Amino acid sequence: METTDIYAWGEIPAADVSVFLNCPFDSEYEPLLNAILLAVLSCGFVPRIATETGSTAVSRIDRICAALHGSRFSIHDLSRCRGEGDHNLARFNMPLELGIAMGRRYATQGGDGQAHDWLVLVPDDHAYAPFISNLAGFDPGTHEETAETIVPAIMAWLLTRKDSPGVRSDITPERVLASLPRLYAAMEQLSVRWANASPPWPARVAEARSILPTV
Amino acid sequence: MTDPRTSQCPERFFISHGPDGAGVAAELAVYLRGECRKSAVRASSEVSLGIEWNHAVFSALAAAEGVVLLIGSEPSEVERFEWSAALQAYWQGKDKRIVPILLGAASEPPFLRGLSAVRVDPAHPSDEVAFAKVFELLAHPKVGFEDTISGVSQPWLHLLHDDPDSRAQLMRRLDATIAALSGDQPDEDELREHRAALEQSCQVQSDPKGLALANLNIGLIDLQLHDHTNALKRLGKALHICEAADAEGYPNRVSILLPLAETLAELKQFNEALDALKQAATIRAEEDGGESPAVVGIKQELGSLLVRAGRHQEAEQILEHTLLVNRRELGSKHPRVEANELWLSLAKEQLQDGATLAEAAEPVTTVMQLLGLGYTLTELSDLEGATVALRRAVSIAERSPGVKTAIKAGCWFYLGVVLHKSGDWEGAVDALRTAAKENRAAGISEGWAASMYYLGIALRSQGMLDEAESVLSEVLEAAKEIYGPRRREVAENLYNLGLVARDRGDLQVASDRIHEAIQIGAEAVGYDDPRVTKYQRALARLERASV
Repeated sequence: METTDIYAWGEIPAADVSVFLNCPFDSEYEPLLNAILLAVLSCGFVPRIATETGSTAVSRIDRICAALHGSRFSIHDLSRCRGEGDHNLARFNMPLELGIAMGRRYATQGGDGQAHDWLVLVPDDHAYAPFISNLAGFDPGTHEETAETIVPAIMAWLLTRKDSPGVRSDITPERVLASLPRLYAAMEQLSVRWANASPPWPARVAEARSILPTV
Repeated sequence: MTDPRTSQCPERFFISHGPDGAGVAAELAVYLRGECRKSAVRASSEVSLGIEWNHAVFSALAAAEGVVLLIGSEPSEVERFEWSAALQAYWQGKDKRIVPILLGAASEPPFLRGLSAVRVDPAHPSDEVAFAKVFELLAHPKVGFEDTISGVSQPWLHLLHDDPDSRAQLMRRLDATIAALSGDQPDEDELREHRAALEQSCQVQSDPKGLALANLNIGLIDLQLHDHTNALKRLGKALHICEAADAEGYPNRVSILLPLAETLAELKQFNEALDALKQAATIRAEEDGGESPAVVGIKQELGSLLVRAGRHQEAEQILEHTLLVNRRELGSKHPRVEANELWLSLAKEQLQDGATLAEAAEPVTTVMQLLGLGYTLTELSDLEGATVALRRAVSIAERSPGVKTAIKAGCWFYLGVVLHKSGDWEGAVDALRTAAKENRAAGISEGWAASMYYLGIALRSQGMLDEAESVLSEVLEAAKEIYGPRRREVAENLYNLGLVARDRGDLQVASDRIHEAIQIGAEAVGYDDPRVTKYQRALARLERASV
């Protein structure tokens, strides 16, 4: 996989600590995205997204594949897979990305033990089973669309992965959640510094890294 | 028969395992079901499979108070899911206790890093010693990821292992306890000097307030010197003066009644000791306007004294009450609460039909629990109580073939140190002789050296100077070899050898040895260290005596 200078002020994360995030990127989801960002970093991993390069010269699907193939792990929040708009249609981007991740897993299984590993998140009351019956038996994580419920689900999954870098046992969801208000404030400041535009992903990661809970 | 551990035992256990841990999980389930009668033990293989399987696992984990994770070398996705669910369940309810078991050569997953895991060979799935440790960890109040490392009984669990690191860790822990017992306190000579000065001031003292205070201080010194008869006289006199005056500026009567009760208990005058404690509790309650934490503390002492006096029913009543208040005010992890729980279990046990704890429970766990009690009571300066617990630990360890020599050695050693501190030098000598023998048999050189060191000191206290010198000289050579020639352990041995020479009247040899102790001690821990200043004061006294 060719790497670019996406993390210009840091190193391009290695695949085995990279976690590809497949979730909504709108303002409504923003607080949860920040919570996920901090949870992933707290577990010693680096969160990555499709638009991390900021490059418009590459098609969106290529960027998704590049980031996903450069990540050993991926998290897919299907909580928004529900009818929207006048036609009550669901967005299919996220299930599509989950499909790519599943394909990646089958392609990498049985080799050097570094198979792609993914987590599906659904809301507690999500009736996912009838709609994606092929997912039966894959044990999705659940949350109530709050930081308090999504952070433990993500941390528990990441910390128990094979080859997880591991963190001290006193880095708990409680500590991560306690750091969130600082992260929200820092993100607002960051947005101001970027003239109220959406700051590049690496800048957000760097900002979140600076306020990781300490022990 | 009430097993005292049952009261601390989680209501439900969940054992997470994969195919390679199935045998161990089955044996462990049988063991836990036998140990904790009221508990419901469930292994992950017993959870029904199906589309709702994940919900069933989450529910079982949420309901379980104790979770055992069996970690194999190649954990499956299902096992990882259970670990993940267990982590979430733990984060949700901090009271949940989680204990990892490593199977064979499996290594600890990073998220369990820092925990002392139990290791079991899957080829021998019925490892009762390991299961006893698991049970101990599960039954210990609030043992979780943070607490398994610092549980009160934890130092003793290392005795189950044979590796030198664990032993060294145990010795460091013991060292800290022993230092707390004897380290920075003034030695006997200094206490006597201080006492003589107070005695002099008493003779010229006309002010009753000053007289009461001087008598109280002399009584406290006599208590430290284990001269209980004189302590009783002095404390009684101080109390009499205060009661007659009962005015401002006099020592608080509670501060006299508490050491008075301790003195009376030492003299086996339990009824009088109990009266003194009751009086102290009443006065303190009046002063504090109700049942303050201090009052509860006095009542708890009253309860433990009632156990020692054989009045178990009354003890149980009081200790039940103090436990309730202590738990509410201090939380379940406080050492005072733990001491309260264990005294209560001792009180309850005596109410039964004469069967002993050892006959009812698994001996290794019982011994460790009693060692934990001894440790806690020592920290609370309840040496009498610690002695009761440790004597019982020794007794069970000695008649139970399953208890390892290393554990026996630890019991005898700790008992010896506590007996020495309590002034029972004869008992201390016997216990420490056995500790040295057991440590040698177990091949624990540091344990042997520590036992011999305290044996030398106890022999000197008993006036057996020849044997004390011989033992301490042997330890000196061993300490040089084990720790190195310029270490504080060597300095401390030289100091004690100096004191033996002084007792024998050989002042020149005494001076030389203490001088060398100062040099080595200053090099090892610095001139300002309390131990080195103690050596310096001893040398100054020697020089004065020579003049």
